[in-house]
Amino acid sequence: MALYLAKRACGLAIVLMVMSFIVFLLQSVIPSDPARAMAGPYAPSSTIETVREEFGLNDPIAVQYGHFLVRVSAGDLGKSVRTRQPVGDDLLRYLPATLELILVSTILAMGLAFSLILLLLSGARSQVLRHVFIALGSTPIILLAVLLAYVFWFSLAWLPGSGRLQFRDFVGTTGFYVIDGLLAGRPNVSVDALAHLTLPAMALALPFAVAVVRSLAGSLHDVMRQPYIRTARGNGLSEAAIVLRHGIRNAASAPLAMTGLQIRLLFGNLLVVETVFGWPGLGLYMTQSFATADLPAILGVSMVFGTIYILVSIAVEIAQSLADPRIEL
Amino acid sequence: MVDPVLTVARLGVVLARNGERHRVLDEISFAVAPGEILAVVGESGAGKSTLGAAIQGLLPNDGSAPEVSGSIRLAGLEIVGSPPQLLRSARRSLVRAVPQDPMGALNPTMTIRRQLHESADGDEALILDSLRRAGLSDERRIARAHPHRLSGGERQRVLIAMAMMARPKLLIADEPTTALDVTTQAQLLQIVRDLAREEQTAIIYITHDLNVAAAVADRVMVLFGGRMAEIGTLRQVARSPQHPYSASLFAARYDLNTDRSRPLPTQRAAFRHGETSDRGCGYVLHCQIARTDCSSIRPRERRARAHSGLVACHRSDEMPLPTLPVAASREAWTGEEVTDGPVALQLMDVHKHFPANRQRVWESPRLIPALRGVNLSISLGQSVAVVGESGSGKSTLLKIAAGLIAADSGRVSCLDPRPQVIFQDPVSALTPWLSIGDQIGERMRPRVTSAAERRRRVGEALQHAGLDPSLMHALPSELSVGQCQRAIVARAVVVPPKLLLCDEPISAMDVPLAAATLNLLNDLRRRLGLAMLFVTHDLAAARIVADRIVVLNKGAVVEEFEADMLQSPFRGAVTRALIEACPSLDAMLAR
Amino acid sequence: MIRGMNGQTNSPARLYEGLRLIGWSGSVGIVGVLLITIVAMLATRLTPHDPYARIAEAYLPPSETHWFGTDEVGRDLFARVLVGVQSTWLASLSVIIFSLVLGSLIGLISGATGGKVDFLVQRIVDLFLVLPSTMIALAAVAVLGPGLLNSIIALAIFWWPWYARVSRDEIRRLYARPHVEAARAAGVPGPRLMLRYLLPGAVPSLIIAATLDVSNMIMALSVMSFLGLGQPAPSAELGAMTARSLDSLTVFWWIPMLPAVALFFLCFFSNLAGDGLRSVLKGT
Repeated sequence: MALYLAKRACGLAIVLMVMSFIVFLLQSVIPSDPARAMAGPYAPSSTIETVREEFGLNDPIAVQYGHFLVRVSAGDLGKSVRTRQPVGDDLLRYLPATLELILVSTILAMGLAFSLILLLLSGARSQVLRHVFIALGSTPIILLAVLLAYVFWFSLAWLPGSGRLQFRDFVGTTGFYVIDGLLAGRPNVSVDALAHLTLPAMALALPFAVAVVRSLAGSLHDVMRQPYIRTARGNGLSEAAIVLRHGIRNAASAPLAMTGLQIRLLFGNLLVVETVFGWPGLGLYMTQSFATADLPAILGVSMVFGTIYILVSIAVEIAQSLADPRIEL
Repeated sequence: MVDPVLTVARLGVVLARNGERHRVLDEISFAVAPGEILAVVGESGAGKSTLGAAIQGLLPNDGSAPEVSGSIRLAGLEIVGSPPQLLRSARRSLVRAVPQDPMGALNPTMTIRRQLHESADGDEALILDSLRRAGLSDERRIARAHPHRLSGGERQRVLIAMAMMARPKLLIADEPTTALDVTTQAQLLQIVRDLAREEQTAIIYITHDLNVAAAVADRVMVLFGGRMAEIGTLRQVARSPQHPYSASLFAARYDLNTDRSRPLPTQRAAFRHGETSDRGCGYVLHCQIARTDCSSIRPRERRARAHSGLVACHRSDEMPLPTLPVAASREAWTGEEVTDGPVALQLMDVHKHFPANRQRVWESPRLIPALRGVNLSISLGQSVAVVGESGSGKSTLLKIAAGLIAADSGRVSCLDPRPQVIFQDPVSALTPWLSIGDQIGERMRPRVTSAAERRRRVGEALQHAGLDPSLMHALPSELSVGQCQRAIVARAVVVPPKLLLCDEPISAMDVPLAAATLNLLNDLRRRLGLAMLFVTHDLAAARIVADRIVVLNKGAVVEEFEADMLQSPFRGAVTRALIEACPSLDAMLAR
Repeated sequence: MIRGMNGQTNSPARLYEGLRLIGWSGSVGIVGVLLITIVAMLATRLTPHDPYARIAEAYLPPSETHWFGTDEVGRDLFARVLVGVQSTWLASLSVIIFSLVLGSLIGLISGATGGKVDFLVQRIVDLFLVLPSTMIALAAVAVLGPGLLNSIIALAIFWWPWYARVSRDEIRRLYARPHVEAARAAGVPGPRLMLRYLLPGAVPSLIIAATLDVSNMIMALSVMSFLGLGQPAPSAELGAMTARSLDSLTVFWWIPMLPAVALFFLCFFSNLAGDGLRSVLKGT
């Protein structure tokens, strides 16, 4: 176990290095001039030259990358071109919003997945259900987000669909507003934060839950034809006991692997959802950085997401080995 | 007489396969008494396994529900038409099954202890006791383990323990030893016999192997095409079969004492074209003594003349057949035994290791020896059988000789062209998407460039192997198992190799098909003057097909002798254990 | 002499069996996919309106002349959605086909060669698979500059390794099967073994994987376009059309919604088709 974690920690470092290197490499092949982008379109050439010196843009790419690595390991991610703030500070400012959204949507996804599994197991009209699942799995995040916003925010006005809070004056200590509200003794803030969280979290959770449950259904279908299920039937176990004790656990491996794959697609979803619902998190920060080709900011957010991704895949692998004793870490 | 545990009356089963409905069982009637073992024999597709599933109330339900007619009474309980709840409690307390393939039959994510505990209510002591009685001496380790840590034999014992723990009235064993080697098989057969005697459990033992049936069963029921051909005590049916199909089954068997100087008797080639109808006898197209009324009137079961059982044949009064037509062609093999020809295969001090799973990245992989200094040489025209238990390294030996894997050390030399291999499972040894002709022609590709010439020679090879040349355009899925095996033989000999390697080619076949395959191999290797290496765990087959037998144990050759000297009193311990493990019908009859 | 006994597996029977297995939903999916492809080929020829020109007032509701109404500038929305379908569909198919071909070949060679080559190739594939690929593709396009071609290239670079893995695993599984051992023992040379004995066995799994993957690709491309990483302003891309008209969602909800609905149908039909194909090829 310790060995496994050590191995994966090395893996994390390698992935982050590869990611940053790819972005660095791309930067060197593009014709556009980051110095000009930083200095602004109307800056005189002397200013551009100063910027170039200041950011070390005259050095060869390998040297620049070396400098970059040294700076990053000291915790310095550079300065955002757009906000003119150190990227590290920006990340810290926007990270809590995104983490809060991810956590809430994970909880929501678990609940959704669980109820969908119960629905599946109840055996209700399996053919109809199957096509409903295909339709849900085919809903692009753009449509889902826009639909949720239109129906529950504009039309029914049940839930807010923009920003994190209606209280403009509130300043939290941890950045997780649901908790901050409780800490500050203002439960109405917490409730409002939860209300704001609902729609974006739903938009993130639904596709994820559907993908996992579809893959579980498929793998459960295969598992229920295995000889050991026949053995269990031959031993006179009830069908419910067979599914719960023999089926689900053996079928768990595929949806867990699916979770790992889905997470990669989910980062795109996060960006879309934060944009549609005006959620001031890392996703929105990154989307806005795209427009200005804000390299340090893009790189910084990528690093954070890369770390989250690797941590999640480690958790998935551990879960897989717990579910199936044949998989060793 | 005691009341029977199980009474089956006029049982009929219709199953849907790929949208078509097939009558799999047709008016089967029999009974089994407590402590009695009934062997159900017949070729694959005869409905043996469906019978077992029907008694458990576990018929497959793919799309449309199976149609079941007649009655199955198990300890006073009617199975046919019972609600699922009742069937479930019957399965829990009255009837248990031991499946054919132990590898997949245990849940891989649960420990053995939990699976046993779940299967029958019982405390730790009972679990350990059941495991011990199933022949597992280190029962504590087994109980703690997950199935993937256990060998096939151990898993099958666990499954038997699982069935025994429930103390069922009836046990259905569906070919439980087919996937295991002879030594394990002999031990399991003993456990099954003890179970019947000590617990008074009624047992239905499904098998295609008459020698195995003889080793366990009191009575035998012969199935053909979903109908009962004959039922009676094993001893009587074996001595004087009253149905032509049973006669052919019992005639085709072979064991350690069979005459090996001539082809084995077999009647499976006597197949005529024509239509079978539900109204007539199902065996009519294979039958030697069929008359016109056989294809129009279905024979009913009646008392057999020569024994106390039942038989379903119009013409059983004419049994035994005075001379079977096949017997006429059973002339002794011709040709001298070659002993000093050029050496076709030579292995000198061959070693092979396989890496085990590594525990740590930086460790060099642990190696498990498969072969430890094997020497073997086969001359042209000679046939050598390599026998041993599973794990003795015999398959590795064959793969090295075939050049499919490389030896770690030692010398391997073969005559050109490269040796050909006959595989264990003929169906999976043919590529499903290429026609038979394409696959056979593949071997001539570099030399014979003209397509017409290739076709001609493929046709010849098919004829050699006893197949119609027009089958070259067929895909493997359109052939029966026996035809697939012949196609594989045709592929091996289309360009006659110097050396033919056979990897347990008959272990999954029923007796008549196995006998036909042995005859074909024996015939071809003599006709073409091939050297042959025959790998098997079946000493009886080894003795028939080989001039010389090599016994392998734990990766090393322990004994090597002439096939005729197999039963000599000077054989070593390993060989003797193998001989004793060989079940034999004739030995049973002689007792 | 023994003749083949079950000769009834002729082609009409197989065709019927295939159709039965696809089922009505699979058939709808396959017909839908074919229709979408035809629509994508014809695109602007299906409508009299120029997708790039202001031809009427802005925000016209759907009518007989303008089926989907007009957008915030006064361009015909139906014409623009057609162009969007064309670019999204063809781009997705080309990335998937590229990844399928490249990945399958690399997997085939890696799996059939085995040994050191296999080990090396698989470690490279591992590295690709462990990277958060969408993230890097987004970042890469942002750095390279927005555009459809850049999006396609960035996605293709990260998409093929998965096919290489599927193909390689399938090839290794086949390689251990007796019929391939038999072919090797029969002396079939390497390239011929790969193309005739290994590849056809892996094709069904790969086709299923690719068909079901089309919708993932559509979603990835539309997300890029939505985030402003696709073609710049006047062009018609489904994701970008929704993003640019998001402000009008409260009143003219159909303008951002219709392109997104079009995306849904692209995904839905390709998933239905994939599901039907899986039923046929896997026989379940």
